[in-house]
Amino acid sequence: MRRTRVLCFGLCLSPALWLAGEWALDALGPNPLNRLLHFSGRTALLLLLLTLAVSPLRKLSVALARAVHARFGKRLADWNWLIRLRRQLGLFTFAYAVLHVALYVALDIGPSWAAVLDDGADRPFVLLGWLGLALLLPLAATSTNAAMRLLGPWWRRLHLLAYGAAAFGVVHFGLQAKVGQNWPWLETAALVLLLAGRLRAWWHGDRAPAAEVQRPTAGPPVFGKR
Amino acid sequence: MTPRPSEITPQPLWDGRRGFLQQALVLLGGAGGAAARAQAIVEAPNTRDEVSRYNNYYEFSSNKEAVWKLAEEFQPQPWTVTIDGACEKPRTWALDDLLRRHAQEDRVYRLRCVEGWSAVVPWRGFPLAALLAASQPTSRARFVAFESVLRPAEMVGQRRPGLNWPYAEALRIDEAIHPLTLLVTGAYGQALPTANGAPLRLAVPWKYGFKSIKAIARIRLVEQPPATAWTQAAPAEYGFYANVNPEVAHPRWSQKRELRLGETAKRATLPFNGYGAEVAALYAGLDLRQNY
Repeated sequence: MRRTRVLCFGLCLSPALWLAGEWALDALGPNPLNRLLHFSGRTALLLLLLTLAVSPLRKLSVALARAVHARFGKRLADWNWLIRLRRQLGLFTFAYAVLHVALYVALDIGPSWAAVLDDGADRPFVLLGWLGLALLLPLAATSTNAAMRLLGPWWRRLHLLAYGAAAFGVVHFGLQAKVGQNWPWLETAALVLLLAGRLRAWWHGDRAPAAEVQRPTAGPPVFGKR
Repeated sequence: MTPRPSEITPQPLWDGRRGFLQQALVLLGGAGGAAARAQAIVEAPNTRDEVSRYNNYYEFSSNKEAVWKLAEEFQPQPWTVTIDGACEKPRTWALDDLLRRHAQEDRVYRLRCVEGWSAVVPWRGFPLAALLAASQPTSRARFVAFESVLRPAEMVGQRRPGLNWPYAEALRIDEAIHPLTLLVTGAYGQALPTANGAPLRLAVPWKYGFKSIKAIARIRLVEQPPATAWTQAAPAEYGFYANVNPEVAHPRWSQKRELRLGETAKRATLPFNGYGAEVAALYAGLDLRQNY
């Protein structure tokens, strides 16, 4: 378990190290600012979509095990290790979003509040980016075990905001591109699939979306009870 | 007898006729380069790779980093350019004849793309005014219309809809004969890269880059304002003048800042791209917010 988490940590950190390496070696290409902003932003969006994919993937693995009538290794098919990575993926999403915004404020508009407001008014997609970050903020703030205990059932509802953040992220990314070029179709498709999966689960009576949440209390986790 | 409206010289041209004549004389005297060089560029030029591997050239691709590769097969030789319309001596010039006739100068200009990036480029070429003077424009020549080459076989972007091909641009006659307006035949002391519009392009340094048309095949002197490619494609976003202006935002982004190629932080964009002292007088009395 520990090893999976360390591996995930390393994988999540590698885009930042790669970008830092390119910067240090002066290898960011002809438009270095674009490279910095695109790379950090795309990584944040990818990690957010991966975070959202955790619980559907886990359900899929169970369904798959049932479909092939797996008698053995059912625990293996539950992919519990995946759920334990979700908090890490979510926090890395937030870290890359903050890095993206920090680079934007420092290098694109110059650090000034007036410039932030000005640029938001001039470029609508920038506003969408800010909204996405605003939705991620409470999620990062309530990522601790203590916050989960405190919020109880509200924690799951609050964390549905991640879908909103992903939607803002995809549209923010799509609108900054040149017309007719580089619309993030893959990201859009992934988000639509994830939303469809969530709606389907809701339709089938799963009103508590993050039902597989790792219980922060002591004792064995109670997965797969339903 | 009342003259037709088109025959009336516009007030600014009339007011500035001495300056106009002096400019023309200075140019023809070969001292135009000195006038242009008075505009010293203090910033260091970009590298040749930065300039020739990151640019817009929709005849090949709308992807700035794909253009240079797709443009490699383009054949810029042999080349002719036709000058006709409202002039006494219309003619089709072989490019080699033009190069023999007009002394080539090296000039370092800023280039500001309407998308928000910029570069400093050491162009090589000669003033457009010299070429126009040889054609002897008539009094009806109030605009200069430029047309790029149409070669869908070599220019893959022309096989797709998008812009009206061939690409078209235009200048007012006083802009066209301004000593800063350069017909470019080379860069970095060498032949012009095909990705940058070889063998013949324009450099109008105080306007957004899309005004500086590439691979010019035809130049027409006309009386009415000509239609231009980007103004036809998106009139609310790209105007005829397209003077670099930090105060007038593009509908989808700000023009206050620009990213100089090779740099990580943006810098402030200057009015008329820093050439205000030379060209602001051309637009005296014109509402630049209306005429973007």
